[in-house]
Amino acid sequence: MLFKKLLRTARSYKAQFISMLIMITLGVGIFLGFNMEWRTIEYDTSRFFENTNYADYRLYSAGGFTKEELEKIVAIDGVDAATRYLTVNLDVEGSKNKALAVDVSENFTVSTFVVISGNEYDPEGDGVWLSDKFAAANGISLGDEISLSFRNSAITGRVSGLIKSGEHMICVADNNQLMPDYNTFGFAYISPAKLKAAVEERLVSGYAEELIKNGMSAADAAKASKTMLSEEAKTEALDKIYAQINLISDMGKAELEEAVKAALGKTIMVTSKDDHIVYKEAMGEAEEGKTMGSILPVLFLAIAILTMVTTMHRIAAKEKQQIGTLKALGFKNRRILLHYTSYGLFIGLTGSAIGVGLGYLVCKAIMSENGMMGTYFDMPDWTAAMPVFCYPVIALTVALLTLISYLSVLKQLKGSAADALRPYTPKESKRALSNV
Amino acid sequence: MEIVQFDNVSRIYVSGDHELRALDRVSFTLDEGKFVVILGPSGAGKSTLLNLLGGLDSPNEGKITVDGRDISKLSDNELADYRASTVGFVFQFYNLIPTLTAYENVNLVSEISANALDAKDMIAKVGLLDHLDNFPSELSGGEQQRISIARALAKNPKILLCDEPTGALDSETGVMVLKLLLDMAKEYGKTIVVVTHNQNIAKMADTVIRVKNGKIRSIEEQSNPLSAEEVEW
Ligand SMILES: Nc1ncnc2c1ncn2[C@@H]1O[C@H](COP(=O)(O)OP(=O)(O)O)[C@@H](O)[C@H]1O
Ligand SMILES: [Mg+2]
Repeated sequence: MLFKKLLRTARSYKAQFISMLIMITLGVGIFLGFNMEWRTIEYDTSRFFENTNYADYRLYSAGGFTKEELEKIVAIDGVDAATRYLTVNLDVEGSKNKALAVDVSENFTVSTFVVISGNEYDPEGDGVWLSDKFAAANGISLGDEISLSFRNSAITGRVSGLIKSGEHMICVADNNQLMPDYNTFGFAYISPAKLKAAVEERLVSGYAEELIKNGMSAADAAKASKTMLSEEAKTEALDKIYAQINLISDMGKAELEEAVKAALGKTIMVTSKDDHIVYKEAMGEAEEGKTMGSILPVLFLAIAILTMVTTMHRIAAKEKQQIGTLKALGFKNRRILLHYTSYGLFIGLTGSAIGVGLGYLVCKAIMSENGMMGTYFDMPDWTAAMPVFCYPVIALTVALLTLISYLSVLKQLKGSAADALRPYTPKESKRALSNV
Repeated sequence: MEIVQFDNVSRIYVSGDHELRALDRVSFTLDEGKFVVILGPSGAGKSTLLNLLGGLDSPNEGKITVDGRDISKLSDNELADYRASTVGFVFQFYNLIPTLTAYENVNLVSEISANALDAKDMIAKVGLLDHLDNFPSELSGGEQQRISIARALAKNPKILLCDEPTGALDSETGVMVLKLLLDMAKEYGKTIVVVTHNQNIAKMADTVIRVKNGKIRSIEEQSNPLSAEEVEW
């Protein structure tokens, strides 16, 4: 019977109940939305980074790294994995203004990719593993041939897989490009074997040109260039092109720098992931979300709670004579308190429940493939995540709202049943009356 | 058989630094099954007296015994039990729960009283069976008061306490409601105490207690009370 009363009372105070519900829904929704947003960025990107072995550090050398140097880096205590790495922006042949960052992860232990469709990675493979977004934007399918200009020769291959990579989660050509545009710029991986072949081919054709310039016939030059180039020359050319070592390590930057210097006997430029555009931007977005998530929602929650305080107080005051009637009938204070306190619990639970839904939607509006971040981040998985502290905050909010209605009613219950039966008079007017 | 005993009962209201003796050392007894009218001008202390009797309030001094039980020093919970089991109220402004239907208002007492009577039967008794599902706002004043009488009786209390039960009704409706109230009290064998400032109602009572300035002026037993029809309204 009293539950019916609860629902009907809610209906009779429709405006108040709805405004309280809206405030709580907004408060909880905005609180959760922003906090889920940054947590989701952290959660999804870190999983993606882990799955694609995102590099903690990148070593740069204009002259490239030799295999022996890589081995020395791998041997450093505290380096978990390292690979020689190349990333170079190459124009797509046969189309204007289209380019790809072409990457090679020599031993494929660091800065790798996940295959969305097509063939898995093959270190000997002759194909091209292409960004699925670039492929989609340019109508390229698995098996299509793609050709990239590599100085005056070309790297050509069939698309053998469509992929995503943490290394290119934010796929921009350079720091001047603000937003990815897969129409004009994407990324691709080729195998180290294919890179080696391309480098050698270029070396050979360069040498042949040299011979022709010196008076050799084209046919002779082609033959001669193939046989006369030493293995050392080929290796040297390849070493030169691996201008980067990407590695995974928990070491601090200074510590690593020292260790690298000791291992290679020279100072090498080391950049940490904090300076890599992808990690930097992702963490920046998360930080921004954290700031948003700590000011705006707290404000909203505070307003929601204040609304609850004034509205519940007003409702309890209006219900005072009904409270008195229930008392006169013989209902115990505990029972009446429970009844009216359930209003707060009801509003708190309903508001929070809708708020959780709203928060999820807000989070999804930002962090999903079709959301705001969907055009910025290129990730395979968009799973919403909630910071752990949100659970106690919501529980506390509901508890607080319940407490508010409890206290509002307790105030009206004070004193005898006869007191409760008298209409509510605010303190001020009571004082004013007694002064008359 | 005595059902109510007031023994030197005082109720003092303190506001700021001045005290008001709304009831001043009042003593009287009431017999079971009687119709008692408490008569007096506005501000005399009638409601204060009725509230004490009904366990809505506790006295500052003195002892109140109802049905053999001292109710003057009960805790809040004990008073609630006392109200649930022993007394039924009819208020001037009906005090129905506006968000419950007529039936639900009456049935509400089944949640607090173990020997509650059937709500529908009680509503039938007050002649409002076709208004079971109406909310108080859909009923006239007289109808609301009839529902509140049904509610008071549904608790099956020993005593019915009525504070100006016809005070908000026009005289014709008032007489009808009063008659119903008395008939029902008689049928169910209840002691009924009615607070009023209406002299005519007093003519129908077995006992008339006149109150003024917080004191009892007189207690009068009427051996031949008039019926409602005999009173000139
Ligand atoms: N809660 C209260 N606080 C202060 N004074 C009160 C209170 N209730 C009643 N009074 C005063 O006590 C006196 C008796 O009141 P009441 O019993 O309501 O009179 P009646 O019902 O006969 O009109 C009045 O002077 C009234 O102003
Ligand atoms: Mg009165």
